Amino acid sequence: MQRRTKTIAGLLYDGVLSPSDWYSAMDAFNRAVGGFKFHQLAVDHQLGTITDSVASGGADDAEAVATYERHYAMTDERLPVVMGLRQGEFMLDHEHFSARDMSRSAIYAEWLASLGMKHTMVLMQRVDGPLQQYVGFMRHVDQRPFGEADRRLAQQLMPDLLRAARLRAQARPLARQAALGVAALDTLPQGVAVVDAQGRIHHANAAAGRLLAQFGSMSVRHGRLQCRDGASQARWQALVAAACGGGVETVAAAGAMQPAGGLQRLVVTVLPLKAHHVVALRQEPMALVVLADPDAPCGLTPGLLADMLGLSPTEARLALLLTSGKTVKDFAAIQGCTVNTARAHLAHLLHKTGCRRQVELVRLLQSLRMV
Amino acid sequence: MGEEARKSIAGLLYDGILSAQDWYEGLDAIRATLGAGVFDYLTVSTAESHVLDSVDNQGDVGLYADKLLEYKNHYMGRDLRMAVLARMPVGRVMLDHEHISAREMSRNEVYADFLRVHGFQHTLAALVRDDPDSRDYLGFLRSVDHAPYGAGERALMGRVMPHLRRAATLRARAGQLGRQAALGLAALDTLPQALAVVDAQCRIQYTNPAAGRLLEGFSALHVRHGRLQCGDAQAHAQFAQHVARACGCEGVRTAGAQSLAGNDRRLVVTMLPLKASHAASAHWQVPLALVILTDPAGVTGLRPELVGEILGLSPAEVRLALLLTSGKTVKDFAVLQGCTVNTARTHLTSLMHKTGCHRQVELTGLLQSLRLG
Repeated sequence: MQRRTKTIAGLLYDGVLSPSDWYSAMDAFNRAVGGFKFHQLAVDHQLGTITDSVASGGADDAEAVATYERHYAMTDERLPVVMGLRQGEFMLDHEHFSARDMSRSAIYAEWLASLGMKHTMVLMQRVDGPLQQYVGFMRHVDQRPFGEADRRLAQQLMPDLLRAARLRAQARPLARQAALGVAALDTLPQGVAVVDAQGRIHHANAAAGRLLAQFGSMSVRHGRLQCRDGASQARWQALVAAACGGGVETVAAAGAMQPAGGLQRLVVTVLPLKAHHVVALRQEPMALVVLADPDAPCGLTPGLLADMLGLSPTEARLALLLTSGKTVKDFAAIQGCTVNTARAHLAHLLHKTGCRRQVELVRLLQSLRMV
Repeated sequence: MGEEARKSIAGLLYDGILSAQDWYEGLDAIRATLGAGVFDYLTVSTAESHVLDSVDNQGDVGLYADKLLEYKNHYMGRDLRMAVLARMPVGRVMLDHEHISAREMSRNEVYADFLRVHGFQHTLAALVRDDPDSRDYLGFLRSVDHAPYGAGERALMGRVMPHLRRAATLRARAGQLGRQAALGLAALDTLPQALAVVDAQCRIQYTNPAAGRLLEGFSALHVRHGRLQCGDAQAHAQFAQHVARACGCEGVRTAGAQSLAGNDRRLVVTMLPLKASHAASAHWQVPLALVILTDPAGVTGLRPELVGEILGLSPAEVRLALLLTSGKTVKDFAVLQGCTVNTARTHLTSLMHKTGCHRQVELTGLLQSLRLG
């Protein structure tokens, strides 16, 4: 008993930052009280929306939960009792409804019975203004109502359940912000990295990794971003120091450079990272590094362009080459095809985009640019 | 320590996952129960063994930040206690006199020159967290005139340890999440590109300052009731459809673009499906779109002196490069500059040579990529 509650409490706390551990905690709690299924809900009564829902089982159950939320929740006689609970209180259904009540209720007789469920215990985990979060454990239709042993177990775990639910609610905006920032940066066409005054990388987006591998004039070594070429490295270090406010001048300054020695040209811009967020970063000043390919000035990749204009990958590559000043012959050479084939691609490309001349196509792509 | 005291300490430690004050209070409560004078909670990076973070009550007992800094810079590497802890498994409680003899202590500069000077001697310590990046050490110090720690304190610490270890792991993870959130938003805020993140209903989840500046006074697209909305109904229908497609409301998630003409200028709006980043995507159920706003009017944002410095150009060459990028010709430049077309051509030759460009369109690309700054 003692051991089991300890395990569940541990899972609850681990669940503060991990959705899968939170699920495991609810599942273990449910099994400990002899439940068959569980469903945890967070409801905003002011907006009338469900802000969080965790339910036992796989896809079948998810569908059942959706059906319940749409059709049965309004007539569920358990809900008024649940809504009256204060934080930390719980209800065992047989103390509120007689066997006769249950046999006449749509929820018990139709809905729960159809899913093989009956008796319900609900724990109010969190009340925060108009927001209520509670978890319901449902027993199998053949099982007896929840009893004293279950009540004791719930009481024992309640302090940990309440604390973990509060911490989980507090951590959610943080996790969301972190996820949103990372996802937005990964979606951007240009390379973006955050470095400290020593050039140590604290974050780099997906495009940064791709560009560094492709261009070769800069690389990552021991977690630091650096230039291959000696003179470029000196300039790079000076730019980063200046952007971090550590140079001769104490004011952080922006700058840019083209590191030498790569396979292709790469433009690197270094900016001081906006200071108001730096507090959370151990007060260390940092620099934002933007890596851009001057030969793809629109920030467009072939995949993206194909997506936007409904082109084939080959047509998209041709369109981008033409926009960067190359000719149809250049394309044929790069593609390893005949000039006639290249011309056929061009004809398709112009037809699909509704352009009559190459210059119109270039203008169209320039208008799509994202940087 | 009774059950109630243990529960109260555990509660403070768990609350300390997200609150520095509670973490401090939890550690201080353990210190009081152990009859110690000082506690110190150190987070040390594994790779470079420098102190990343420290929570302690030393200010309360007259040991101030400079003393602590002195320890971290000068003594930590020679600390016999750290060497003992490094060989012990996570969570095992160390009482220093069981591992370090009185003779060793009297000869060790950490004990003799640092601890003794400040009136401390006996230490109870443990490694409470160990991951590939960093370790957390917790130590409690008793004053010289106090008896050494014994079996009672070890047992007491043993009861708190499971909570301490779990809370320390969660606190480290929450700290990492907080840094990630701050870093990501700072990067987005610093970018000169105008960006917004919206859901399928165009509800704004995030906008950066550049987007705020670009949308200010722009009639064709504005923020209303927390949503991005076009001034014109027909344009908005198209905009909303692009956003919905980027969010995958019609099956496959696709990118889109639209040009919006306002009272005084035109903006190009690009909608991209927001990439759900691996583990983090579990934290939202709704798909989102990244909206990028650009002013097609060209290279107006470029500072001439910056262009000159980066590309090694003369002021006249910079002016020519900027004019060409904004769609003007070499002849236009000659007129503006008040020089002959031949002189202008000479400037152009030198400009192309210095930048390594063969065609004007390459030059335009180069200048546009500088615009990111």
